[in-house]
Amino acid sequence: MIAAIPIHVPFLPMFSEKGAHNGVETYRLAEDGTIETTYVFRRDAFDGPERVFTPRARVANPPVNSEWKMKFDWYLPEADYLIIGLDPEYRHTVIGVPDRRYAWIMSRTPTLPEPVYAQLVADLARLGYATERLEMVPQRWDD
Amino acid sequence: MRPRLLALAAALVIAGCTSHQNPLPPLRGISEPVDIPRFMGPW
Repeated sequence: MIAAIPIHVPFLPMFSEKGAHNGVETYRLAEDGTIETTYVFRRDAFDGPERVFTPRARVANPPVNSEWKMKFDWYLPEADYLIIGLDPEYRHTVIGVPDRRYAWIMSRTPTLPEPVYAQLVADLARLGYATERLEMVPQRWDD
Repeated sequence: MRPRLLALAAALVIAGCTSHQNPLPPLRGISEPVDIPRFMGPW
């Protein structure tokens, strides 16, 4: 069921995500209302070493729920995480940060139709993003 | 622990040296409500 495999499509790479392959981000709502996040990817190649980040998020603007605070580790301040685009059917979303340094286009499927991707990139540009810096996260799933 | 802290310190220095003022106002999340349970799961 390749169509069900979720992916990160492209992103403005954060330092720690350089060279990511087969990146998958998963959210789980915890009983205390926080959101357990797991981001798994392979470094530099599809068979590269696996890297896992497990930040925890909290919603900063209930009940709209489009602005989160991410905590990656005890010694780091919370990071802003903004849902700046969301498909009505929740098939794809765009995540940004207040200063526009980073963005992630995420999809529930391995690829996005080209017109959809083009529209999302155009939306990012309209919001002030330097979209020429977008990088695709390679995705390859054999089963 | 020490290498981790050193890496963090280096990252903060690099971030400080490369920071710039963005003339645009800070970006905000969408105004439409997000259904959190529906947003959960893998992407």
